Amino acid sequence: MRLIESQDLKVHFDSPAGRVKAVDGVNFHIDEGEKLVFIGETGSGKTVLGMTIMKLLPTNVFYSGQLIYKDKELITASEKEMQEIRGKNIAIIMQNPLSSLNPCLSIKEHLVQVLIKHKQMNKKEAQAEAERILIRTGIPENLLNYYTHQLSGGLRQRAMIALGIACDSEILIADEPTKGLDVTVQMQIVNLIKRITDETKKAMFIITHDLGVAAALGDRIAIMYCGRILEIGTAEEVFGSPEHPYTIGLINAHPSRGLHPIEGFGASLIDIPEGCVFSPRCQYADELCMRVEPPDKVLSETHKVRCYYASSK
Amino acid sequence: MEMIFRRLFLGIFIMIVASLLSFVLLYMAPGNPAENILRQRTGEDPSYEEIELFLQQRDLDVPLLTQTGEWLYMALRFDFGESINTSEPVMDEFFTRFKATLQLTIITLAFSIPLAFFIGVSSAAKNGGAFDHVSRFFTLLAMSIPEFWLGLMLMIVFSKTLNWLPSFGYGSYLNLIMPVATLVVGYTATLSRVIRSSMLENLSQDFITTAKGNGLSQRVILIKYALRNSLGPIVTAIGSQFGHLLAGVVVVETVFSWPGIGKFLIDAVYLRDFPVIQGFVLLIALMFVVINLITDILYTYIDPRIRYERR
Repeated sequence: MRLIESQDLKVHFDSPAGRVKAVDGVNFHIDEGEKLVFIGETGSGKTVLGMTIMKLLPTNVFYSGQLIYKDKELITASEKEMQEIRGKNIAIIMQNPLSSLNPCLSIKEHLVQVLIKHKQMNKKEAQAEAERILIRTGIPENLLNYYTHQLSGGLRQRAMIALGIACDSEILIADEPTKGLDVTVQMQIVNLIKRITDETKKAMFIITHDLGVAAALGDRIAIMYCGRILEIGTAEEVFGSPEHPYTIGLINAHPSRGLHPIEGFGASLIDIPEGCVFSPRCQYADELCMRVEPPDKVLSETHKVRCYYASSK
Repeated sequence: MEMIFRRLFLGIFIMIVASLLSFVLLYMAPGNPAENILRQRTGEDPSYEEIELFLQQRDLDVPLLTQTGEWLYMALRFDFGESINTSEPVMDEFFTRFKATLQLTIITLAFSIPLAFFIGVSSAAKNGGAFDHVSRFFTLLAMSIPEFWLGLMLMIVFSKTLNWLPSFGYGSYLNLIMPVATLVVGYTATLSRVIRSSMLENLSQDFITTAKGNGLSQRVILIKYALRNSLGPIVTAIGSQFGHLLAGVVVVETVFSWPGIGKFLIDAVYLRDFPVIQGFVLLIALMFVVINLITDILYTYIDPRIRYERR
C-alpha cells in the first residue's frame, strides 16, 4: 500500500537574501515497509523535505504541489490534524540528539509524554511501556532515568530512536541518524534501526550524506541536489549502475573509492543555476545542459534520472 | 549538601564584610549622631559640652576599633544594642518594622507572581500576537513609571477625589491596597518580561521541534517543556524581588507612611543612629544570603544539569 506520495512538491522560504527554494519540484513515494534514503550534501534540501512531511517548518514557509499520506493531503492539513498524525502515524528521529532532547526531562519521561498522548495510557502504564522500549533499543536498565547530558552520543541516539518508535508509527523519518557518532557506534546504530524497523515492517524515510548508511538501510535511494531529486532507483540500480554524473561523483568521492571530491561547491538554493542544476559542476555538461533543465529520464520502472545523457555515456 | 555548606560559609563571610563596611563608611561620613539627634530634639545647634555628654552616656567616645569589636562580639550573640535615639533595643524595633514590611512583601508577591506568569506565558505562547503586543507595551510602561508618581496618583484618585481609601496609615486592610497596588504594577511587569523572554528562548530550541514532532499538544509543550525549562531564571528573578521587598521599599513606604524597614532605616541614616543602621544592614544581609541560598537549592532541583555537576 502506498503511504506517502508527493507530486511536484515545492517548499520555499522567504529570507532577507531572497526566496530560498529548498525543495523545488520533488516527486517520490514510499510504500508500506519500504525504506527510502535521501542522499545529498549539506544544503540540498533533504532535511527540509523530511520536516515538510511532519509540517514542522517555521511559519515563513510556502508549500505547493501535493504531499499525500494515505488519502490525506498534508499540505493543507491543519495544525490540529497534524498533531494527531505526528508521533502516531509518522514519527521522526531528529538530528543532534543532544539539542533535540529536553535537558530537563529524563529520557524515560520523554517517552512517557508521547505514550500518554498517543496511546491513551495512564502514567503508570506509560512508564512501564517506556522502560520496555528503551531497553529494546539497548539502553541499560539503570540509565533509564538519566538526562541527556549524562549519556554518551550513542546512547542519546538510542534514546532518540526509542522516542521515534514509541508509538508504532507506520512511517519513521530519520534525519542523519549517525551524524557525529564514532564509526563503530554508527554501525551499531544502523544495525539497531535495521533490526527494529525490520521486525515491525516499518516504512522509513532516511536522510543522510553517508553512502554506507544508505547502502545498509535503503531499499531505494534518491539523490538530492539543489532541492531536486537527480536520480532515484533501487539500491542496486543507484549504487550498481549509477547514471547521473552527480551520483557517480558522490560514489567516487567515497574514501573506499579513493576520495575524489566533486569539483566546485553545492549550488545555492536562492540563485538556482540555469538549465540543469548540476551543469556548472558537471564535466559532461554541454550547451543544452546549461540552458534547459532536463526532464526525468525513465530507465526502468523504478529508476529515473534527470540527465539528458543518462545511459548513453 | 557540600554545596549548601560552602554557600553558608560564604554567606557568613558576606555578612561580616557587609557590616564592617557599613560601620567604617558610617564613621567616615560627615555628621555624627550626637549632633544630629540633639539638633532634632532641641531645634538648635548643640554646644560642645552637650555633645560630649551625649557621647559619654552612650559609650560612643571610645576608639572606633574598640567599638567595632564590641559591636561584632555582641552581634554574634544576636544583640545589636540600643538605638541612640530612642534607646529601644534594635532587635525589637527591627521585628516590629519587619512585620509591616513582610505584610507588604507577601501580599505584593501573592498578586504579582501569578499575574506575571499569566502575562508572560500567554505572551510567549503567541509571540507577536495581539496579546503579546499589548502586554509588551503595558509592561514597558509599568516598568518605566516611578513608584512615587504612581503612589501619588493613586492617592489623588482614590483618597482625595473618590475618598474611598485612606491615603496613609497602618493597621486595616484598606491601608494595604494602595501600597500593594503601586508595588504590584512594577514587580509584575519586570517578572512577566523575564518569564516571556526566558520562555521564548526555550521555545526556539530544537527540543521544542522534537516535542511538536512527537505530536504533543501546544499546552503540554508550553508548560512541560518551555515553562519547565525556563524556571531557573524565573526563580532567580523572584528571589531577588523577594529580597528587595524585604529590605524595604523606601519610596513606597515613605509615600504611604508605611512603618516598614525601609522607612525606618532611612530615618536612622539621617540621624546617624549607628546601632540601628548596623543591625539593619546585618539583618538585611542575612535575609539576602538566606534567599540566595534557597534560590540556589531550588535551582538544583529545577535544572538537572546543575544538580549533577556539583556532585
